Amino acid sequence: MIDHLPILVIVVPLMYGFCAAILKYFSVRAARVGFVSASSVQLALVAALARQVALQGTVEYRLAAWHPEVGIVLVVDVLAVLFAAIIAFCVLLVAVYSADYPAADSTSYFTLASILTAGMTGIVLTGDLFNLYVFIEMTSLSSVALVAVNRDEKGIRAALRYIVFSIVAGLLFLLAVMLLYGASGSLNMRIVAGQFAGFAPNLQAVVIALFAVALGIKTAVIPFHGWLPDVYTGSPSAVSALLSGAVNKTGIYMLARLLFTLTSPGSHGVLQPALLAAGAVTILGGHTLALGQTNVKSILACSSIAHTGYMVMGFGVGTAAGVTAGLFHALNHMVMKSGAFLSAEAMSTKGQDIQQWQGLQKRVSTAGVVFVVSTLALVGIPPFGAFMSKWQLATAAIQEGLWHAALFVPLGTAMAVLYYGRVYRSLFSLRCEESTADTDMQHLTTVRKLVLAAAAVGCVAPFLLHGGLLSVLRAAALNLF
Amino acid sequence: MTFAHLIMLGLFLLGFWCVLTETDLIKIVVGFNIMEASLLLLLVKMAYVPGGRPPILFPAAPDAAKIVDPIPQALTLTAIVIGAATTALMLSLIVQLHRHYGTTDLDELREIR
Repeated sequence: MIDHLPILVIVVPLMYGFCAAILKYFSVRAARVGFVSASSVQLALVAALARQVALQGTVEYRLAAWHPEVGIVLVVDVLAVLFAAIIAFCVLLVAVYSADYPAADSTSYFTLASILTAGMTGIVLTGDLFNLYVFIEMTSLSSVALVAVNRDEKGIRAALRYIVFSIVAGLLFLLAVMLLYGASGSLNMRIVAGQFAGFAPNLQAVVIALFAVALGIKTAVIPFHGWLPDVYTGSPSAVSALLSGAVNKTGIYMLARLLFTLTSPGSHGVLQPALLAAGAVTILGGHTLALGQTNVKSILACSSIAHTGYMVMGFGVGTAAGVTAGLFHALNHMVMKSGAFLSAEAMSTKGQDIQQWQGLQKRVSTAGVVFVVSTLALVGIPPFGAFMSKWQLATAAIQEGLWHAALFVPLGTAMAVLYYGRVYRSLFSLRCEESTADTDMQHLTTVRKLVLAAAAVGCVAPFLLHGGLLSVLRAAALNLF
Repeated sequence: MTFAHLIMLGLFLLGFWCVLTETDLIKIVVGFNIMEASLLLLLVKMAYVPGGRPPILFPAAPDAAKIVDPIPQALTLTAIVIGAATTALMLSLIVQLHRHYGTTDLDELREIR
């Protein structure tokens, strides 16, 4: 059993996805309970896997015991297990919160979310390039379907926009994988990476460019961000939390894994400045887009773009410290954005427009507090985790003499204060709109309150525990060098 | 770059052109399928061995050079399946869209919004 943990963390959610499709014919309630249990089991399995990695170092799992040159391997190092944990935690948070989701067709929601979990976990664990492509497509298909799970007009339009971008990214990725296979005759990442330096320079450039554009679309790095605001705004909030908290992180993981293992740290050449520039443009552009929004979910969506920029900038710094900061920010962003999207959903019974939130604070205490906590954490002030990761990012950049890059960190924070300030002003305004005062606020179940409280704790905990976390993250970053 | 590669490049660009310029969603799906077909052709072409034979080891197999690499063909099959799933999902979304708006034309959809 313990030997098969790497494949179990992929198989368990996948199997539950199909079980849920059958279970719903007997009892929808059973499907709901099963979804939460499967997500809990998933987190426990990932924790056991993490323990195994901590004790034995990198775990290599050969599927069906085929030799790595011909078969598929799963490679679990600190970085992989860290992202598997981020994904499992985010899924559990969303699973518990949305267990009583009043969606029209909520059972296909459970199936799709489980398959999504399997796909995302596969992405971070696999050591095979084509297998990675298959998991990417699995993830994007299930997330596209999740966006339209309510079959409302907004969701369907968003899903169509999302699938068009996903197909383009998938095709570019497939082309890159094929070029690598043609040149090396292998799909094993380690073997391909070992031979990569010997390929023709043109081929190297084309492959890196294809990967960069494909993953740029996946992570919504500006100028490939066109799909993100509509998709995060148009999908149900629990799905937005999944997309922003977990799916986006798989893109970040692949960016780090592929670009850093293919090109050795010394020979980054044009890649490193390009990542830095993309990071800076994305931070600035994401925050600027957020300034122009009046819908709270759109603000959160645009701020997701900006936060991806911080992570990309961390990779662009190119040192272990920079990558560590980028990974730390990914971890923080998962919990902050999930908390923000989930609490925003609990608060927008009247609507998601800032104007409709006037004086809401008095009526929705738990959700309101969590919303304020998670958005303050997104701004990046102490005592929240994001403050530490932004601080680490700025110091890592300054150590490398990249002052101009480090400047974008406080600039981004200042812009975030501006647009969240507008939300707060409406939220805390004493003048209560008639219509708002009349409506009964949605009753939050105790379970939902607990989830929101857990997210709020998750925003603060990385700040308090940053010493221990940083040593783990540093070990993860060193897997790339 | 051989003649075959030029044809694949042509197909890819044709599909891309179709995706960029057509306004009807169904035609955009067709464009994506043409792009994908060109990539799959490239994959099959990569593994093509003139006069090749199946990758089965006989005790008396004379020339190992003629063995066809089976992996690209397995990959092609997998990619076809993924392509079919993607096309199906996109078409089903288009059907839903048509139910809501009564059109699959992007220009008309923009006007409705």
